[in-house]
Amino acid sequence: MKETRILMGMPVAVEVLDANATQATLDEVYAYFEYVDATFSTYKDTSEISRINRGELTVAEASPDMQTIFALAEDTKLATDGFFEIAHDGYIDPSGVVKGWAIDQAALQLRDKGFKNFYVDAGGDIQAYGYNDQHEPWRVGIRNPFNLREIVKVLALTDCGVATSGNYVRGHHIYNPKQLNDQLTQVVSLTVIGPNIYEADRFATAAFAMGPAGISFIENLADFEGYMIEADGQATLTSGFRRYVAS
Amino acid sequence: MQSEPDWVIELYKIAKKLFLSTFVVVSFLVYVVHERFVELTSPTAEATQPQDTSLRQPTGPVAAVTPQPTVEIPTAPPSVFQPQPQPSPTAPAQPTAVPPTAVPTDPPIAQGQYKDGVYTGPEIDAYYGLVQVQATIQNGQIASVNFLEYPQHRRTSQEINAQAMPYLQTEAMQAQSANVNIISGATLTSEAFIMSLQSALDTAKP
Repeated sequence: MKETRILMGMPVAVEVLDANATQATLDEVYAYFEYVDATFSTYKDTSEISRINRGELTVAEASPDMQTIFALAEDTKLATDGFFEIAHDGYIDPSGVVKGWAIDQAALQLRDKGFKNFYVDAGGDIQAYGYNDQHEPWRVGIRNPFNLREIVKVLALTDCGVATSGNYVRGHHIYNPKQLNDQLTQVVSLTVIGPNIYEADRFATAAFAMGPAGISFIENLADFEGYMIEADGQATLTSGFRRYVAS
Repeated sequence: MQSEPDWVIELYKIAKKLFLSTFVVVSFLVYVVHERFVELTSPTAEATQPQDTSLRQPTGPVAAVTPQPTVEIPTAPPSVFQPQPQPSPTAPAQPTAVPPTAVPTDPPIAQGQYKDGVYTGPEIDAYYGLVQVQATIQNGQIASVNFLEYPQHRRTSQEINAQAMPYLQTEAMQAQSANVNIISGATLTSEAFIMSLQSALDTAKP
């Protein structure tokens, strides 16, 4: 069973290969993402995060998931020496941690239901379990930042998460919290493979904000591998990245 | 061969040990004296004499070693430099002696009556890059010292640093035949979504 829907402003693709998967299986995944969007979208006036930003609600009064997200954001900020930050000028946008967390939660829900071979892909951030229809690890392509119809790397992944932070569309949505006027232009794409998509996504976001030093940050993290593409087309790989490369 | 008497053999052994020990000790002493001699005759020796390194105009008692109007840049510490006066709001100054060092491990320099101003040192090759410091003097004292150049700002040093980060590899990015199940890339649609929404909101402003 496979489906793609536009949610949270991005394509969300879910594919479950197990024989017992039904349309209801997919519907439940999308229902979860609708809940996440309704709670955490800064573009929705009625969302819980918008109410917090308007001062109508404090974090202490907020839902367990919201409190979880704030705690995860704080933990990520500490783990990345401040390069991950959800608060800007008194306005809070937790999308950098919500996306990976939500994909991870959706995938864990499928696991809890007994499914073994599937992936959840929201806007290019992916959690993959098991194997594809060729009974091989899922083949994940890294998009060419200079030609969006091309692939520049093919990865073979199972039971892990992969996130790509990018800078190649006008309107950078990632910026360096330590240097707010810093136009991040040298690194155009940073792909991080980690034990799950929550971890991969938060570190990809923070490492991207570090500029070219971000790939060294990933190199220093046990259990994470990265692939950085710079504006001149030069790519840098962490030392263990090649074991995931199919071509 | 007729063997030597025992006492001669013993004497010989003792003499050999004594000779070797003396040789080692004397060699060491010669080394120490030599190093000390070299140090005493090098320009850095003058930098350790406080009177010689201050910018104070020589008045009053003359120092044991005559202060030099210009100072040779020593080969060792790259942070010792000769100041060039910059235009400053306070009185212009003439460089007269060795300015302060920027590295705390160097011998302390007496802070006397410096002329107020901002002094920039020349670029010094620190092998992995250039070092250049700038000192700001206020009220005759060193107010701050800044690095204008430091090796990590240089590409070469960044490469060194990358090598210190053990095993990062580089390659030219290359297109692959696209036989994939899923694609990971920064979201186009979310960017377009945000931009579009922003435009809409902009037109909605009163």
